[in-house]
Amino acid sequence: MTDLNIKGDGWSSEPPKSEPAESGPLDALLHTWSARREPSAEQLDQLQAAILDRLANEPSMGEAVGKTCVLPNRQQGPAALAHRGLAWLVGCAMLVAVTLILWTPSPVPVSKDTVKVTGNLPADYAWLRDDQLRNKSQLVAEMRSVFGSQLQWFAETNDRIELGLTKSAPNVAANINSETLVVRVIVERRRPGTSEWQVAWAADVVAGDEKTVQLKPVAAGESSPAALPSLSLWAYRLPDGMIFVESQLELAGKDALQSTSSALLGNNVPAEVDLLQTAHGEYRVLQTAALLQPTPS
Amino acid sequence: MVSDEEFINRFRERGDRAALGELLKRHLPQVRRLVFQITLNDGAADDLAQEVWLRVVRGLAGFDGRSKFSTWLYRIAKNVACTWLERESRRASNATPELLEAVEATATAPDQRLLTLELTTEVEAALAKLAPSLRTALVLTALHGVAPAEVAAIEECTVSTIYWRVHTAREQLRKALQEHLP
Repeated sequence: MTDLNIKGDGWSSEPPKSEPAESGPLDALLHTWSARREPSAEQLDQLQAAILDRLANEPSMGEAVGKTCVLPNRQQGPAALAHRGLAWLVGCAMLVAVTLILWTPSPVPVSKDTVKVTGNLPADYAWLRDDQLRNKSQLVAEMRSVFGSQLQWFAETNDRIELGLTKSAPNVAANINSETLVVRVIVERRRPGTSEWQVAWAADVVAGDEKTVQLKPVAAGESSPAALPSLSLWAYRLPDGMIFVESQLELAGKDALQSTSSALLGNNVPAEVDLLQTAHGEYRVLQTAALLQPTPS
Repeated sequence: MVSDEEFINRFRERGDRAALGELLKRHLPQVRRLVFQITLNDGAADDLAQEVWLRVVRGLAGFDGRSKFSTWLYRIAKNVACTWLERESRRASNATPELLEAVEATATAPDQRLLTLELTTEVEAALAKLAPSLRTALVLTALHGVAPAEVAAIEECTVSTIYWRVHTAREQLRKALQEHLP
């Protein structure tokens, strides 16, 4: 099951008020246009007469007659209202189940030393496949439709999605809709005496250009069977298409480690950005960054 | 007020054509409006409205009442209108180019504050540039007041998709009509 964590106090149970129930100048213009294009009462009467004439000669007119299926009357009665009330309560209960965590933006610590990116060919799962990129673009579009310009970033970990929302709608040009980057972060471990790398933790982070992503750590048992790490990440796309990624990652539990990195990455080219040795074994951090293409309308 | 379902039951149980006539009278304006707003073709709208009601009568035998009658009716109207659009686009005789030419010819109309004939044409041209799915979502929500969940049922997609379509449609319209918006 996927948990949904909403960060920020801009959360509302309803989508942004401006969509689609807006009643601004554009809608006023549309309503005026619609009224001007409305057929006259005489035209409608003529059309109705023409339809009734056609229906009178319609062989299937008799087909519906005699059917014994009685349709429910949708006028509101106590039972219908009680049903709606129950549905509303269930909806509220589901809403309450959503974790609300106050999101406070803070700068990502910047590493002084740029980590050397190695040229080792990473595993297949380090690459962002085309279908995955398309899915993420679609997800951005869907989330944007719900949260509007409040959406700053979201992160998908093994079984969770976390959202970063601003308290109020920021400048449209500066939100996730402007230029969207996806960064895949993978921590691999190699136990002493073994040669094979295994995935210890992974996340896909989708954020607007130069947006600070901050995943708060969650202890095991609170809402997840496994402890969730702390991750701060900031990505910036350079004019030449390279993507600069700064990150600070802290894993807890049996794979406890701290990793800080700054790396210049090619578009969708995985790279090893950190290599660590702990008492539990050897760890390496892989990152892959790519520009998300907007979903065509 | 007699409900739609009651009229349908009267027609199905007793062949009460007056009940069908009442249903037609009640919903014809919305149907005619919707097919025009999707096709943007006044000449075709009457024929399409007739086609919608023929389909309604043919389909009433199978209408099981799981959705509201209005939802079912809107879905038929939307399908009839979109089918016509597809057919017209294949015939390459879509009205859009004519609209755009008309807009270009009247782009310098002096008074844009009032909704003149020229502005009506511009609104139509801007609507014509929208993809049919965006236009349908917008007119159903903004002009017909249909709830997003109901539009999602009509379009057979998620509510989020409807929000996104309406949002995108409004963005594109605002851009196209920015001269006429504050």
